[in-house]
Amino acid sequence: MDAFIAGIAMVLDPYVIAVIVASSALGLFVGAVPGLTAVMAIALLVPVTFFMPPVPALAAMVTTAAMGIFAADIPSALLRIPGSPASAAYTDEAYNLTRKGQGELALGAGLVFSAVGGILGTIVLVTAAPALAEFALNFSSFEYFWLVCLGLTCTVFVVQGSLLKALLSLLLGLLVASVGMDNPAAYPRFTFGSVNLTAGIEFIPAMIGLFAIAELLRMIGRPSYKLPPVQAPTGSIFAGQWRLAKQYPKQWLRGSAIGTLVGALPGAGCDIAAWVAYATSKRFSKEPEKFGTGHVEGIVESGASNNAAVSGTWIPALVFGIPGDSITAIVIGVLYLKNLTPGPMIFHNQPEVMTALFAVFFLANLLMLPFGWLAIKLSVQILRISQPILMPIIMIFCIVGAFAVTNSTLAVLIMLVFGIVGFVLEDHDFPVAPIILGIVLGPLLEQNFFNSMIKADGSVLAFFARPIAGALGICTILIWAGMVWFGVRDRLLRARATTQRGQM
Amino acid sequence: MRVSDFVFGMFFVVFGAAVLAYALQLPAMPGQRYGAGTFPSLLGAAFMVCGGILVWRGFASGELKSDLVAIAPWVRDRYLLTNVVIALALIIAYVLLDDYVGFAPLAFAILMVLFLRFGVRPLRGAVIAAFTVLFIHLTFVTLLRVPLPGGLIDRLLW
Repeated sequence: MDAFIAGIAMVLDPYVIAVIVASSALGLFVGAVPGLTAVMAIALLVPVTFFMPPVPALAAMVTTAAMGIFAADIPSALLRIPGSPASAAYTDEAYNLTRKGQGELALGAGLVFSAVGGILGTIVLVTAAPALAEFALNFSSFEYFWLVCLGLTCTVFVVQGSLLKALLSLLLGLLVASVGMDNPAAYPRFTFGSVNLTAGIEFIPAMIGLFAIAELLRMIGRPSYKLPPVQAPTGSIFAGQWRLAKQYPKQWLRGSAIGTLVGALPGAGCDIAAWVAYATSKRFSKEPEKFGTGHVEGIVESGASNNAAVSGTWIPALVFGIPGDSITAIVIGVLYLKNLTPGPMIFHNQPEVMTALFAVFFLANLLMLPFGWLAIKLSVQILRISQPILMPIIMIFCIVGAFAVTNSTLAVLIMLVFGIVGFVLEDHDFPVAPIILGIVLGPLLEQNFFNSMIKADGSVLAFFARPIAGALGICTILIWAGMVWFGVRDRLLRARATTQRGQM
Repeated sequence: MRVSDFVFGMFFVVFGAAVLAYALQLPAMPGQRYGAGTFPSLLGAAFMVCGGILVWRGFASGELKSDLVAIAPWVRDRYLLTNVVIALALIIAYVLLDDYVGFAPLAFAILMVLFLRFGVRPLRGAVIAAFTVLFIHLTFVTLLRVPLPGGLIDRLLW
């Protein structure tokens, strides 16, 4: 109880409240501007949170993520351009509603059910995470090894597009993680005699490069488009939402559940949650023929789902140190910086910080209603800010952000290299998220493998000797076997189809 | 520029081989069969396998008959290509010059070059650039005590 009160008190600190308000503004802004994503904003926030105590630092990230994911709905509905990939699933739906003159309904549903999804997701986070942590206290290096493997597997598995390319991205991330002396043998690897590299490659500049610089290069290398002028919604945003909530109770409950669950899968974040929820909504709808023509049902479900995923991604991140998506991959880096080692012990060691974190989640999702309303009302102004002015400013912030972490220009160089790598890879359909997960999970994978190997005296069978480790191990192997099997079968079927066509 | 999967795969095979060759030279831990090289050599081998599959797929899909290196639309557009090159050059310039010139003048110059390139009116650009630099100075240098290099201004003043 003491921890509970201490935690709440930490959040009610005026400084923390000010941080929450400022990050709300940031999140809503980046979410609403097409091209700027929540991940990019969080990557740029890290250098600033670097200088804050743990609670405001975490508050800033939670709030920015939650607001950013909601605000991406605004340009979806008004311009048919999703503010970030998480809104892409129902962009057409929202835009068609706007064209039918029901923009208020689309935006309102996005806002209200984002908040609902976020709060339900948080309730699951608050109840599930400590329970899971209690359970995970018995885990040894064998279980952790398999958990990390399972996490990496999910990362590759959930990526849309080529599995092979996702795997190569993941390998690149793991390789980056192995640079430096921070390995079980404490032997400098891939440093090529450079003292600067003995501590490994700095995570934050690498991330700013991958997510911000690469995105920036993509934006300026693309024919610039002038956003068409938008009509601000004039009617009431909240009118009719209560009716929607009563009409579609199953939809928002299911959406939140799917979101939390998908979010909790390592590697799958808000965008995948939204796609899955939208598809489910259509599948079980009484009127599936209306989907895509401006039907609010899908928005209710997937709007709730992508915000529930924001909370869901934190479950594996806090309990196991395995990120649920790119945002929590960044968060885990920050947790380590703040001496809050993620893992089951975090709830025992820092109960007040955890209470504060949960309180921030609730607060951010509640504040979303008034702040989101304001953002919708200001959408005309936000969408008028021109890209030619925004891009250079973001670039300067990238440079300063990378520099600020280590106070060295080397970080700017690392950022540049990763920016180019991210840009080139994504241009060739290699996903970037597995790289970041590889960087975060690489050391955990190696460490737990070594500890297990030494404990088991080199016997591979020991990896399956404990019941939970065995189950996790078999799961991982089955997923891989399945992926290979289906991949080969598809290819054979396609080959047979082409030869048959050739014979006819 | 768009490189075909075939070429990309070749690259990963060679890259993996290099990683593997390097990793095999790393010493094992005393008394263990494993060491600093175990993990990287697995990665190197995995790179070679995945790269090999990519090569094979590129080969099977008949990529070899078409261009191995195609020109992506944004490269063909001289204006957009120049945008990317300028942005990269400016970051490199920052890395090379920041100690000598200092953050404030350099950041102002970078902002101005990009603003002018993107067609922002000069006066407007200058005002926005000045405000941005001032804002960063106030937040990062004054508030967060990040020692952004002073460079020229420091030398003129002190």
